[in-house]
Amino acid sequence: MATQTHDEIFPPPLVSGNPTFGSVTEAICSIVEKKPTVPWMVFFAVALSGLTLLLGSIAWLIWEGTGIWGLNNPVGWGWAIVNFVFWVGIGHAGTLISAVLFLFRQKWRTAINRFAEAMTIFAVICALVFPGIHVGRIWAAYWMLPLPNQMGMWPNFRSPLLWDVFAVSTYFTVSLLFWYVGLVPDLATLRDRAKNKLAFYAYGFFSLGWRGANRHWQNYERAYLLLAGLATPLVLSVHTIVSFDFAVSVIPGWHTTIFPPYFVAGAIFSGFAMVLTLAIPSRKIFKLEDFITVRHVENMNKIILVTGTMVGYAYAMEFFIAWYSGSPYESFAFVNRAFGPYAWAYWIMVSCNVITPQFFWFKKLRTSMTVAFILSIFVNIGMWFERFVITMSLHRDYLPSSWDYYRPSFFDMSTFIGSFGLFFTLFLLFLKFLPAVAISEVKGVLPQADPHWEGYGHGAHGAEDSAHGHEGKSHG
Amino acid sequence: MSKQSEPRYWRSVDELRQNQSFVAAQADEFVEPVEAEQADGSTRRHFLGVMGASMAMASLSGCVRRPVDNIVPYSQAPESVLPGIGSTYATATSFGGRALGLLVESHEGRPTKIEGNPGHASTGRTGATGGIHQAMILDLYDPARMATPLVDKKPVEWSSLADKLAAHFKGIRDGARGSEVAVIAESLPSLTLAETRKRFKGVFAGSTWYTYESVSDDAQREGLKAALGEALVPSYRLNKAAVLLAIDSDVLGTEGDIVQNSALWAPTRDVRKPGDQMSRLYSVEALHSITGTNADHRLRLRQGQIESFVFALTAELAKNPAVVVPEEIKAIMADRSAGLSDAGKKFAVAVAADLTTTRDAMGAVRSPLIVAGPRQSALVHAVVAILNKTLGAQGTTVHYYPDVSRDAATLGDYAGLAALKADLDAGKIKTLVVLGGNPLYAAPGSLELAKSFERAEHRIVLADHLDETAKAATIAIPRAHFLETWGDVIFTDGTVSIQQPLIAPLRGTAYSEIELLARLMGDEQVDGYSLVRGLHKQLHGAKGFHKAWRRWLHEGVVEAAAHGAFPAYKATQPIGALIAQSPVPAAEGMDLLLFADANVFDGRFANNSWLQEAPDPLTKITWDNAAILSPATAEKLGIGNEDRVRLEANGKSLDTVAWILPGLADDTIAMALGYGRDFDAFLPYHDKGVVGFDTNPLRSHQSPFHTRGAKISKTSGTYGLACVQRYGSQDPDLELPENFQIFDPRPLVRETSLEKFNERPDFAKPGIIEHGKPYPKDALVAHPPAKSLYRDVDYSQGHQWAMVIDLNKCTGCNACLLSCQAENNIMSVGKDQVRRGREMSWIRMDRYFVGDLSDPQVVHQPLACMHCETAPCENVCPVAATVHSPEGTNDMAYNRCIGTRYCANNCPFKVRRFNFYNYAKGQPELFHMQRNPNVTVRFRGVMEKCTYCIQRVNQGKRRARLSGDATAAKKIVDGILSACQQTCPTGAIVFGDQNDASSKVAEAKALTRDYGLLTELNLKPRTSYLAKVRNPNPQLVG
Repeated sequence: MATQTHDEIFPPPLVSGNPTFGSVTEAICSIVEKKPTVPWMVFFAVALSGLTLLLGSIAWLIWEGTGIWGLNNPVGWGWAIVNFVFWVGIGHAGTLISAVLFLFRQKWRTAINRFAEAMTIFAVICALVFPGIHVGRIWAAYWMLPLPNQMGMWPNFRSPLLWDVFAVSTYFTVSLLFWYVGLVPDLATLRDRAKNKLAFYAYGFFSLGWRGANRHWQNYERAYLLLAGLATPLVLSVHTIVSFDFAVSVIPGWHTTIFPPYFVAGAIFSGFAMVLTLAIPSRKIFKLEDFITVRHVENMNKIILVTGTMVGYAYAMEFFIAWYSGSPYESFAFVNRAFGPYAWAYWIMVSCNVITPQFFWFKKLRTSMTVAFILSIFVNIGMWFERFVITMSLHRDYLPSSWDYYRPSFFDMSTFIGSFGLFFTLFLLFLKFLPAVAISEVKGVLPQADPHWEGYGHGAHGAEDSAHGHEGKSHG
Repeated sequence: MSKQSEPRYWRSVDELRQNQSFVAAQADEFVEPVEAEQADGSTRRHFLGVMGASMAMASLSGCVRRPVDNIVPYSQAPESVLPGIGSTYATATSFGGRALGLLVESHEGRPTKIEGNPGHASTGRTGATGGIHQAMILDLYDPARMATPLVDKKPVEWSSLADKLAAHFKGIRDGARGSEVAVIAESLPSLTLAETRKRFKGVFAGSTWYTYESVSDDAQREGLKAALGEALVPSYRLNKAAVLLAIDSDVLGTEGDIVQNSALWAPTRDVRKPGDQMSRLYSVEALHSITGTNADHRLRLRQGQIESFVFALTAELAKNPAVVVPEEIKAIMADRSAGLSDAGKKFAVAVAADLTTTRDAMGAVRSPLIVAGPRQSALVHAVVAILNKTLGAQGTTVHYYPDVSRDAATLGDYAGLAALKADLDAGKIKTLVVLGGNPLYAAPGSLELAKSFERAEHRIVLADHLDETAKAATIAIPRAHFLETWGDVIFTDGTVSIQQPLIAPLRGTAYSEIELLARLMGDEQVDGYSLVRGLHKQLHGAKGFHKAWRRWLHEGVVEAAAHGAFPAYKATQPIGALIAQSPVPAAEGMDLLLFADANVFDGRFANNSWLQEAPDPLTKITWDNAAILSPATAEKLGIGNEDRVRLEANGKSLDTVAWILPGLADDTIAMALGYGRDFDAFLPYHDKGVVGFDTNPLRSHQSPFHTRGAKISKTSGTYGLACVQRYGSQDPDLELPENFQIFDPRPLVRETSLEKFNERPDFAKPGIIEHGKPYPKDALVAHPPAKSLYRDVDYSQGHQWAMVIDLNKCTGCNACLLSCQAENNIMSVGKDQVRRGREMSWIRMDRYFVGDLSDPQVVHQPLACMHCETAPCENVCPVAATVHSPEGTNDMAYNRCIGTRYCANNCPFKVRRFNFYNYAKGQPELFHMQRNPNVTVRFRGVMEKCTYCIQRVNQGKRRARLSGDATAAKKIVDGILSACQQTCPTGAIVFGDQNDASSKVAEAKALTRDYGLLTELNLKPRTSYLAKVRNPNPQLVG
């Protein structure tokens, strides 16, 4: 009890190990500056083969046609759309952590926001692959954009797919900008430490002439705040609009008003799970335990618990409304989910998404890295199945004569696995070439950064100093 | 020299007179040509500009595969040939001995579409056809057809073939060795062939002629011969039958003159308002046939009990003093009906009472009719003929005609084949001529014909394909398709038609049956035209023949019927002899029943991908046949759907696959004939090879359709069948575990009884099932009015196309589906793709079971795009590729479609079809010739669906506009038929302009039976249904 009370009054430091400004810079930049490690190379090779699998699958898809997937007549959307929604969902945590937590001044976010934002960008890239390739005539997919053309045709603004195009592309653009703006001071740090010409010029180009001047900092802070403000509604809008793909249709199991909040909750849920899945091994491998602390993981687990419970509530509410609506088609769709041919998928979804997070009621489990990692994997699986279960509402709708069953083909699977290849390729490149933790922001939450800091010597390790000189360069 | 004296050259009067505008124009060297501006404001220049831009775009996307095609334009176009405007010719065809008068559409010399001849009795004067007839056009272009004659399996020139044949048969004639010659022919109802056959027997004295049909009415001929003294063919007038009893007969589906039967039956089911009379159909069968599904009462009996039922019925009828039953039958009827079940007895009592009720409630005459099918014994056919006579059916509802395709004296087909085999084995036959047909495949396995076949030294086979028989031939000759050759065809009732070719033989030369025979006989005239015309000239007389001939060709009907106006009816004969040789059937073990497949028939259409892919009307299996079992039998034997099984009958065994069909008699295995043949036509996503299982080896020639004591046992593993409708109930409960069966059945097919219809004619109108009420029928309540999110469109002006499908008339025969395929260039996709659920057929023939699992009733519901006024597919398409026309049709812009498949997902009826692959890829050019030039062939990645045959609509509108006068224009618009409508033998489909109150479709929509599907979703579907009304016998209800 006593420790808890103490914790509440004097929260444990956000960065442990009492680092100095210099050691923070060193710890994070060294990952980029050192030669790639053997584990990195192994992982990269695996990821690259995944990417090759993806590209090969897409090439065959373009050559041969959508028929290489397991789609059939009632089930016109299969894994491609499931994967799309899955990746978009994962892409939610980044912006949420960065923007929303930034606006709420949740300082603990600094250790993981870079990570999470990168994950967002890469997840959205993975997501964007699917709407492009899932259409029958891939070479005409750009007709979804409102481009001037000789037919004087606009796209159909009533179609949720079109709203999707705008929603996801806006989200991607804003997320990318937000991430990039946050990177600028750190890129400058890397530029300053660069040992070779190429790195110097590359980081130099992208750091936009950052000198750490006061005016730079002012502009930077303002831009960051504005972008955070812009990005926040997008967190809610993207998945709301993705859910419209289903909710606006007339298909029982899709046509439900609960979808927007339910999808957003699900997206945050899956996004945080994916951050954990990536962060827990990374902090170990890259020795970032001082930055991504147990407290971070615990906080994220709490959010997973909350959103997981919300998702569980949505599942229950769907059933209630299906019954309460009195529509036999709607009721059938839901009972069919739970007891029909796809019952296995439904129960995987429920166990992974509703039951698994309940373990986080226990502090011991919440603070265990191993448990958090394993459970985050379960949540990822569960959330993929949630999208699968929803999409498969197609298999039995109004007319029993049209009912059929969907089985994924090899290429459905290879494209999905390949999309992980794309994701991890990008992610590993990010780890190798960009600072995985926001250096300047972490420094901002160090005790030393507190104007009321009482000087070295209060910490356990005392005041063996540090790279004040170096800091001077960057902070002016 | 003065100016005046200079000679002045002028180019035009304007210049000479110095017209103002001309002078101005003269100054402008690059004058703008006058643009012919179109009504919509676009100009030629604008058009060229757009085209240029499109071309540039197209070349930019050069990496995309597009079908490359060569265009060979006419340099000098033949007069009267207009691209896109077809011409129609009258002709006729037959298969299995049954003729149909046709009108065939031809584009630039390519026959593309077969329609029925509305002036021909065989179509019931409706212009309808059966499904198989629709697909016969594809057979013409089958690339697997034999192209060159083979002598000893080596290709030879036609001229050397002709010489060889002439020499060989001259030798026979000269040596008077006619007895060494035997001919085996298909049953071809043709006057010229009958005449040629007669001459052939004269030229080759002592030769033998056999007719063989795999599915033959031997028993019927034998029975009628016993009862009426002559082997006759019955022709039914179902329009006059108030009570129809079908005994093991698929009179509306696969057996006999199905088009005429269906067309004549349908009007008797046309209930428009309370008080309308309706015929009643009883079916007694072990199989589950199309006729059985349409029956008001269906009695499910084991095959052996059907004969008992006939005698029980006779006994019941004999109680009526007006019914005269011969003593010899009376003597045996108690014995022979002994084994009948109680349900069967009850049924017999009710049916007997109904058959003898000669006046209806309104006092009108009720004529009965009993029909029996080919699986029944000669004795049953004889008894049926006698009953029909005494019930007054003969001469009103059934007429008998001679069979021109067989000699009166010949043996039955199966006995004939056995005799031929004996002759072959005895070495009597040196030269065997096979005139079409494929006896080595289709002969009953008990004959082991293949071994005997080799005994004939010269085996001359006229065949379409290099099939089982042609492969065993010493001389194999390509046979002409009926659209390639002259001939004549006689319909059962004696209507004669000239079979007029629409195209020269595609492979240069091919012989028809009569042409081959003429050559064998050493005739001077060996071309079909001279043979047919010669005979008809002789029959008609030279006077006025030329005019008459031209008229016949134009009308498709020869005025003089072959059998005279009306045949004299024979008195019934004593049938004691027949009774003596018909033992009481003993029930033992399981029954194996074989039947002609509804699609590939006896196997002759096995190479036709449309027919292979058309689902079986009951099992909905495509690309296969299966051993069909009733649910109870399957459970008893522990056999499930798609389990591999071994079937044993007549000492042979067949490894095949099982399928469960509710409604089949218990302890019965039913299996279609016509499978187990090589499929050799090209489909890009289908593996060539054997399709289904050959059941012919299991047959015995003594009982070709029914084997007692068959065995079936489960072997290991499963076999994948391509079934297009696995969920057979409208009641979703049946698909869920028992604990969760809480759902209301879905009011998709709405039906009631005639009695209830009279009480409540609008029973089908309200939209939804009242919660908790049992199915069917009276539990419908109205849905609260629905409102659209978008502004309602005004459809009160102009043509508004709509369709009504009468479920009372639809028999579920597949003709519409195949007609649609032929009209709209719909690709077959192959078994593997069907298994993946990607069939392309625009019409889905839905089949639902109602009631008890063991003995359900069946309803059929053809379902294509509903053309919803507030179509859910339209607002979800991101590129606006599917949009509504001002005339109320839901149109697809194929060029605009990018294939998101969102429209198909959001279609509550799931009637949209997606081109998952380029199904037309690499198809032989011959198939291209069949394509309708007015319908786009869809590329992969594009969605497609029923268009209401918009090309026909537009063509009709153009013609109406050109007709210039309002009355004529209205008539043309009223005459616009969708392909399915034109082909439907029962006229169940009505299409037209619903804004025109006098149109048939508007009339149908005004009926109280009219209802729309899923109207509670506010879809406002343009296609609506007329609810089904059955006419049950009050005695048998409850």
